[in-house]
Amino acid sequence: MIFIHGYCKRPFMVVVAAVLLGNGAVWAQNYGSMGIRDVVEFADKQLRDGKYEEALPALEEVLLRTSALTDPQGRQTAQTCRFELARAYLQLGESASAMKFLGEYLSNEPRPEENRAMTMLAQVSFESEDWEKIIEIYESMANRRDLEGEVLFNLRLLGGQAYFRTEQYEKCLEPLRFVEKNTDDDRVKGLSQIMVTRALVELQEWEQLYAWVLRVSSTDRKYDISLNLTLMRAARSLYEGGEYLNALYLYRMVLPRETLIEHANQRLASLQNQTGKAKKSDQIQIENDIKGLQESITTLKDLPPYEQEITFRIGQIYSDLKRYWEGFVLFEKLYRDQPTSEIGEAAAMQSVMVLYAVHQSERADERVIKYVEENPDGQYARTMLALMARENLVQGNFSKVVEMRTYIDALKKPEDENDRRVEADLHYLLAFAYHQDGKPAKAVEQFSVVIDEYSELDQASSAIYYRGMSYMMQADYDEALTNFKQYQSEKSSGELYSDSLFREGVCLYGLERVPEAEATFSSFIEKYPSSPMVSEAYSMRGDIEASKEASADDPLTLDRAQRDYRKAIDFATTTDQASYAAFQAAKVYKLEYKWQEIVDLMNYYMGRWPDKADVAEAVYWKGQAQIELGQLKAETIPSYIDAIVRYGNDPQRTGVDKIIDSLIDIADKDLSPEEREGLSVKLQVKMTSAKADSAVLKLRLQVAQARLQGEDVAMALASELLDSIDDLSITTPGSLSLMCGVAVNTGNVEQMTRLSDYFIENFEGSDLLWHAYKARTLAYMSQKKYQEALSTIEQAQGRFGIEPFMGWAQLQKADALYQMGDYEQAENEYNMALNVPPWRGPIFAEAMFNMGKCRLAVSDYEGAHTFFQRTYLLFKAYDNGDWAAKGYLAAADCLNKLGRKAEAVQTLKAMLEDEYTKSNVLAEQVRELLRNYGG
Amino acid sequence: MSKLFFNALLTGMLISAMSASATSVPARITVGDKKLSGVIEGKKNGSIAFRQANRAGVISYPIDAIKEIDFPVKLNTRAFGEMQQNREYEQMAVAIETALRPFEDYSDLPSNLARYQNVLMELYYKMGDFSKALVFAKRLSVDDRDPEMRKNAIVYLGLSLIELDRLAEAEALFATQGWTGDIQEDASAEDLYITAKFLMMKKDYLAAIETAAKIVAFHHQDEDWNCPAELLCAEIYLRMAEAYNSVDYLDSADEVIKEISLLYKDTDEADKAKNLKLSVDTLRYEMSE
Repeated sequence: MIFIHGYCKRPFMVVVAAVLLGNGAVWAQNYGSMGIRDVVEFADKQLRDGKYEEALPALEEVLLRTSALTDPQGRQTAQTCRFELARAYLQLGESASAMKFLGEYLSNEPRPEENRAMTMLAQVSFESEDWEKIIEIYESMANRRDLEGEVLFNLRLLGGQAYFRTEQYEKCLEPLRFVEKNTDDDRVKGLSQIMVTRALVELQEWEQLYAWVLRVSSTDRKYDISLNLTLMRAARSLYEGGEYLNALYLYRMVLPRETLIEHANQRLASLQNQTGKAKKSDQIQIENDIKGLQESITTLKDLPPYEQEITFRIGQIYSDLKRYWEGFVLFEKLYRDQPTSEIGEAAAMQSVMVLYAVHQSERADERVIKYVEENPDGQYARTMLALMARENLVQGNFSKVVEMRTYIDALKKPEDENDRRVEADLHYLLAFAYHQDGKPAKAVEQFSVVIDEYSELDQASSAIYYRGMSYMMQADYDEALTNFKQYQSEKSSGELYSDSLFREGVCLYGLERVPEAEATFSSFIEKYPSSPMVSEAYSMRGDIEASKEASADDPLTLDRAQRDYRKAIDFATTTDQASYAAFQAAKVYKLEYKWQEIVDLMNYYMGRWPDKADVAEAVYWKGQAQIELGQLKAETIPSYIDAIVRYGNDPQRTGVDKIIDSLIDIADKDLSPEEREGLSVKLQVKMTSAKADSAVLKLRLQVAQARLQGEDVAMALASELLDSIDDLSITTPGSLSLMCGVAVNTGNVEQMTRLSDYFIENFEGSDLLWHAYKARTLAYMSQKKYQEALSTIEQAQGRFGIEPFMGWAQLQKADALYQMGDYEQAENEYNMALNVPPWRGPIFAEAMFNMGKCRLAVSDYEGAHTFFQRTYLLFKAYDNGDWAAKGYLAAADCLNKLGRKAEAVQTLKAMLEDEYTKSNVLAEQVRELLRNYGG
Repeated sequence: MSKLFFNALLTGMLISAMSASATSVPARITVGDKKLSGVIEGKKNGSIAFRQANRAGVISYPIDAIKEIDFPVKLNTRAFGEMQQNREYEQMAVAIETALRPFEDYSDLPSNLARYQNVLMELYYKMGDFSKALVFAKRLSVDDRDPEMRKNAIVYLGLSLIELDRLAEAEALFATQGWTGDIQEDASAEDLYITAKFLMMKKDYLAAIETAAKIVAFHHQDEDWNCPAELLCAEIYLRMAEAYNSVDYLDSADEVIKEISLLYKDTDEADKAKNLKLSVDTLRYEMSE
């Protein structure tokens, strides 16, 4: 990179005029016979014509004749000759000779051209690449005030380049910027710009660089290949050094190769067009430019493709800087342009990552599926699916992950270790999805894939634990226990070790190995007092204590249960943990009639979890206790109404429904008609003043009011709601249970299904959930889906056992078995209903009657008769004598079938004489039968 | 915003010593292939009365027959250039308005005044006087002599309508220009910009940011539109942060603002970015509360 402006050609003649002594013709190469004036004139002419070689002998002749002179004019002439000789040699490229005369010039006097001579010396040094010499000259002249014009320019040009070449980047900036600003020569300007750019890059003066490049980019210089290559290299080195932001700005300045080549070719054509037409003196320059341009184009073409790489890196930097969408559109384009290239696939992966980062999951999922469908063997197919599965799991879209199985199964076998890890991850995530989606058997299957096929990976041991969880979900406590034990034996320091110990206790409890369960929970509490599960362990142990029969030897079981529940509240890390313990404790206190303790406990619980406590449920319990403490009207009713209004618009606050139940109970038992009316008015006022968007609260208050007015009004309202409510999201257990009742009573299978599905899905913990189970069971029975009905009954009984309101479940269970033809088992189930004292009443009557039917079905008329007879003898009064009437009729029929007509007639007559049955609707049928019998 | 028009104005304007009265102004008109110098004496019934130089009598030319009129607008280009450099938009507008005043009776004719009106449109938009910008944009958007200038006017018409909250009109205009839907990255920067603005107006922030991002990603060499697009990105990110309660998007806005401050010093966008930074900080504080 050697370039310098040519020195102006001042006429030599003017300079030496003062020493010319005579006139005469000038003849070349015959200086001896010539006067000095002629020789000078000849030299001057040659210099002016650019014939430096011809000028040399004449100049040397003049110097020879004047070098010995000591007078001022003679010395000046000799000095001028030395200077011109140096200049001529320089023009001829003979640096050594030029250097010799410059040395002589600078060591003699006078030196009017000292500045120019020094600059020429620097130029000679430039040609010999003696940068230190140039710098020495530059620095020695830097402070001279008489520098101007061409000298000043060339000195800075040379000094700047010398600094640049010796990597003194800071020092090169000022002179090179001066050159760039003051030159008209496009080539010099361009090279200066590139050197300044490079120097700023090296100095990491980013701010200056951006301003500089922006200035340069506003001109055609931005198409300069060298400039672009400089920026690209600098950007790459910044990127690799982790300086992404600075790399980004530089990368953005780099133009695409096609653009650069196109522009370079245009310039090349323009230069080639000038070649024949340019002046001879410019010819060399043009040829050099052409050569330089061609070399640049070749360099550019030889580079591996860089546009995609740069685009990708820019995209990555944008993403890292959280400029997600700038990154996304770049990745999208890369993938769209080159879907099967390595960089295109990587871009697809990046775009998906960006979309998940900005929570555009649906769009990201679509991208993943599109990619996997287009590139089933794509190198990112497995990773993308894993990403999608993980994101959807986090968001709770379990069924979506389950649906991904088709794609997961279609993946080819993993080939390397990384693929195996991702593949294992996929099965692991899929297993989780199955587990969370309520498909534990499938989860077990997928966890087993991880355990069996990827046993060397980390996921395998965790999979053992979670497989245990899936077994537990299926109530297969045996298998679950085996897995938890296996985990403990394989991962004694595993992060799930403590959890697995707790689960072991749960399994043992499920297997009814209660003492072992209690010991395990105690062990867990002792070993892991800071575990987030310790609260649950206390609650579980509390449940165990509470379920123990107190005895003379061990009278304090409930006290121990209370202590555990208190601890559970204290150590709870979630509201659910605390709520469970608090309300379980309340139930235990209730068993012991410790009402004040319930009040205190609820206050403690609400104080401990002021923002998150289930206040409605707590108020309910407090209210129950206050009623027992006789604080009925004074405190309970206002606090109930306050809780209804405050929490009633949240459908998940099921305590509100309990409060309403309790309120109705209070009204039924303890309020005068006036007080009842007053309560109704209060509820009406609350309903009227409720905000327009408080639909849930309004419906709760509406239900409460209807119930205050009696069961008929409540059922009428429920019937109305059944027709009017399309969106069940405003309903709560209170309204849903009423609506379920109406649907059951009217045999509306569609509504039974709709309501029970919603109820069970949304209010799993509600105490009123049995209404949903009943509706679902009866819907299945109507559809003759007896197996499904039995399964639902099992769930209902598992949850509610033999509570007084659960007689229907036992009867329906027996009915289902009867319908399935299992008469013996059906009779057993009916018989079981008779063993539950709280069900005494119509349930007993129906059970007894149906036991007769079971015998009838197997033609055991004698046996059947016995049950029918017991029905009318033992349960006359139930259901207005309906069951007794049916018993009489059925018993008579049996006697008839046994050929004992007289007894049959007697039985029928007895029915007509029986106070409970003689007015029954079946009496007319009996009379008809008697007529037939001739009685 | 468009340097093209500023430059054209500075290099192409006529400077003349001719004076003008309210109704009578010097002009050079092009009728058919003829260029005639003289004085326009008045305008009536769709024609102008023109007195040609060195000729007696006034000839009436139907406006429809006139291809172009050049008025000798007097503007101190050096002073104007300095104002531009110093971003003294108000003074620039005053200078142009003053220079155009003698010709205001003829401002609706097809003339070189359009170039000045185009600059005024952009200046008023920059200064936030969207009603005035709209007046010029409407006029220029139906002047089809210079397609590039007409397109620019339509863009400013849309932008002004958005700023004036005249959304229905904006939407109707945008529909005619195809600025309402999915737009590819190879569309022009200005089309992408105005579409992104439209989408932001519709509060469809996701589509807006994706569109604006295409300018930054694929047109970052575009001197006229890249910087405004960066600012628009920052604005949209801020709105998204608010709409989605997202600290990440606040960080995005911050990052863009940082870049504008670094790369586009002493520009209108850098000033606006500084103000936007205040909003970002305020929102960040509110979100942390």
